[in-house]
Amino acid sequence: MTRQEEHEFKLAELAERSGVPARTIRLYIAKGLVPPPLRAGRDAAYGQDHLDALHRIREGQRAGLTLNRMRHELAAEPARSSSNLPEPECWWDYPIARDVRVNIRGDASGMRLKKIREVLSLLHEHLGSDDSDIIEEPMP
Amino acid sequence: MTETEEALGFGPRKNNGEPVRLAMQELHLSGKVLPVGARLMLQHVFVSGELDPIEVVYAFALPRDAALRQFHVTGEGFRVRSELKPVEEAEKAYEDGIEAGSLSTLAKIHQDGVVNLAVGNIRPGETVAVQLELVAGVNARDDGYRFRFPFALAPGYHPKARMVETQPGTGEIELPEEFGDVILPAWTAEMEGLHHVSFDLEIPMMSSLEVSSPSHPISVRRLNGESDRVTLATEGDVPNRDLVLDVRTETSEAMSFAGTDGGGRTNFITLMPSALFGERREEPRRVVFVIDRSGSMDGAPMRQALAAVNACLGALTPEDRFGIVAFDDKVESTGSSLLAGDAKGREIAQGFLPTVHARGGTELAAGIEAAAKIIWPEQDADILLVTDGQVMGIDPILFRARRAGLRVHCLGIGSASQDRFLTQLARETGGTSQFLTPRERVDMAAVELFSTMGRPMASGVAYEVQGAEDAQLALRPSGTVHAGNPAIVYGSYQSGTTPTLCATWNSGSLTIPLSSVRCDLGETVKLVQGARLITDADARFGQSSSGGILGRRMRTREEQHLEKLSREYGLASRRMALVAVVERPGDTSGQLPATQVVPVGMPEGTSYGSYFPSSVSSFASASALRSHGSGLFTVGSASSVSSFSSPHASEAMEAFDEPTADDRLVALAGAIAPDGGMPGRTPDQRVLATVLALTLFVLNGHTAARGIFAPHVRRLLLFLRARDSAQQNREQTEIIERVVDAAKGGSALAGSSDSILEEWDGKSDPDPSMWKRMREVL
Repeated sequence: MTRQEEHEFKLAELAERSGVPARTIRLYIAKGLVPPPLRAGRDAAYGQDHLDALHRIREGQRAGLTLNRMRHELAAEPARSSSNLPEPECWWDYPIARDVRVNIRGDASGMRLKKIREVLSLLHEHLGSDDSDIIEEPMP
Repeated sequence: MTETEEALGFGPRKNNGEPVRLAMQELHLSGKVLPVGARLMLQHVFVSGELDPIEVVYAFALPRDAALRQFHVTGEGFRVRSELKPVEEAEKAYEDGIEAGSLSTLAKIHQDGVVNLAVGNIRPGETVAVQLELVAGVNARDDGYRFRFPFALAPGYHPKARMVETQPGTGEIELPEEFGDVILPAWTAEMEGLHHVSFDLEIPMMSSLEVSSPSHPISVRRLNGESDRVTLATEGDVPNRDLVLDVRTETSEAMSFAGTDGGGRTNFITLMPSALFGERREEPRRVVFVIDRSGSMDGAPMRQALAAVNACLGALTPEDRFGIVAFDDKVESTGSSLLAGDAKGREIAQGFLPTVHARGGTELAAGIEAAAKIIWPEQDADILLVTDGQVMGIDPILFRARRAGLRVHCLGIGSASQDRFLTQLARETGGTSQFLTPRERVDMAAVELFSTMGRPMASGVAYEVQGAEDAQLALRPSGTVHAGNPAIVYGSYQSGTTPTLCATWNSGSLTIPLSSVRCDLGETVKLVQGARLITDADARFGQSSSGGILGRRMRTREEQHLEKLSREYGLASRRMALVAVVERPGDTSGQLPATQVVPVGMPEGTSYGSYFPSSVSSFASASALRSHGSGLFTVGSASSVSSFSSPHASEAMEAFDEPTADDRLVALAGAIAPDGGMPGRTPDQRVLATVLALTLFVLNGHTAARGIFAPHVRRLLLFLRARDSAQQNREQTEIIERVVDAAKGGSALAGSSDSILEEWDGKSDPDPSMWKRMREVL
């Protein structure tokens, strides 16, 4: 087990630590109130950020804030939810054009990666390159 | 259209005809409805159009006296039955299944009878059907029964809940922590894109004479002379109102349903029409009208509720005492003590009613407690509660209502069912309940309910099974029998040659043989009994507000009792949930399915803006109006298909355009003076107006002994008897005697209401020429 994985836990443990039922946590993730898991696929895991987000939600509710309002506030500070994620083991390097490169975390979730690739396709389309395979072959 | 949609027959469509990508596409209700309860199957079809696994949560309300028995999950290559487990174990099995990537399904009952059906790990493109079996009660009446199934979930008021509009036209309710992990849907102002509902129900012919629906267009087909098959007359419908079926019966005899269960015991349910218990006594009453004036009552419900109370006032005698309470999140009343049913009391009431307008929340318990304060220190009194019942967190309300110690008779209004709650509220306090749809008249039902209040057909009734070994009554039957509502007795016995059910009370007794009953319903009868027991136990679960060791012990005892009932009858409850996990080839563990909550539409007749203030409220009202349609349901006239509609349906829709006959009777009833006569400037005019009013009641089928306006007819008769007869000439006296005779049940009148109403509006002083018109009418 890597040092990074020591600070990760499964959904059941996140539910136990936070006191929020697992099904409710999934709903919060779907609503954008809690960040998605650290990795997509079979190794989905959660960290301190997720625990903090759940505590913030509980405190916010007790202070009279609605989930809707908290969601809007989170949306206004997009960087925070990912800034404290553990450092990934690798980054993918996507050369978009001759003068543009984009780096993507190697552990981005499937859903997130799908959206990123859609945006990259647009970027690639607008910034122009004769190499049509450029998006398909990122360099680690 | 995809292959899946073709297989389903239909699916939600946008205006341009494109299918909507919706996880839950169809809800189909089937089963058998008996006079004592229903065995139902609710099929949910989930189709995932997403690219990743999804978890779908559907929230719905349980009908009255209902319990979940089991479900089957069906998909490509599998059909798996649920297991009944304690809630914690069921949740763990569900979560373990989700973590393993398996298809997991959980049906869990929460507070207020809200069920969350969660289906997790539906794969992209996969179709999964969940067939949920449940048992439900019906509202039995002397002349038939009403079956109600919630196809819609109403939003509800709670002082700590927050109503949020998450996007234009879509609102959510956020509940406080005490509601646990229940997931509520989003309510949308527009029905477009929601799942479709349909039904196919069987009603055995053993007692039914006619089936009608005030809520949906139905087709009724007779099957082999044994039962009626009732289906939706259209291809599919939107989920914006409950399904309501009225089954009219002809029998005036007691009916029993029985059968042996797996252990060889005979279970039975007996219905005894209230008419078997003799005559009602005319005794002075103490009644408080409690009117819900919350924002969700705005519009026709509020207007009809006020007209209803006004009409009920007309039936009060000077010996009766009464009060009126109107509540939202504040409570107002006609005073701190009861008023006499005389001129002064009526005047105060007439001044109070016009001040009642719909607004604010629904502090129902506060309304009942205010009524109790008005009645105090007396206790033997009744409340007539007119409400849409749209509240959340009913446990403390039931607790406070029971503590108030008054019989609460509930008249529910609305298209989305709070029927379960109002049934519990009435039963817990010894009252009766009736729930109407917005398409029905509130005022007529209120007058009918009011006429039975405080004057039971029998009280202190005790029941006993004789001629059988080891006989037991499964639920403690109510000792009071209210007019129009049959006494219902649940029981069982081990064996017996001539078992009978005996009812005894202070002025009579009844003996009902249990041997000549339908005996193939053992399992159904046992399940209906179990569902009633679990509903009653559920109603007390969590009601206690006491903390500390005693409170915890009480709660533990309630939990154990509920769990024991669930295991004994094989039915889910708030302590036992249903779960199934299907392992499929290729399941991938550790994936997170994206959660979707199935949205629901605002119930018909409830304005979106009354819960979620926004700019779209006018749009929501327009949408509700469109879905009302004509209000009168008819279908094709093929020889094998018959169609029915509620006799009041079209009238209710037109109630505020052109006054109907019922509107006029309600207005007349409300105008009756405390001495029983109609108002007028001179004694002669009062006598003439009273004769005219009496004639109109009689011509519309109401006499001193029959019809919902019977109390009003008796009041008018009393006035005419006490008049100074020397003031009328011979011809006038003959007319009076003729009308009085008809009102007492003698020979019928042959005229028509219209010819009277052409000359008299029922309000102003009648012209003396009306005597001549009366002679022509008669």
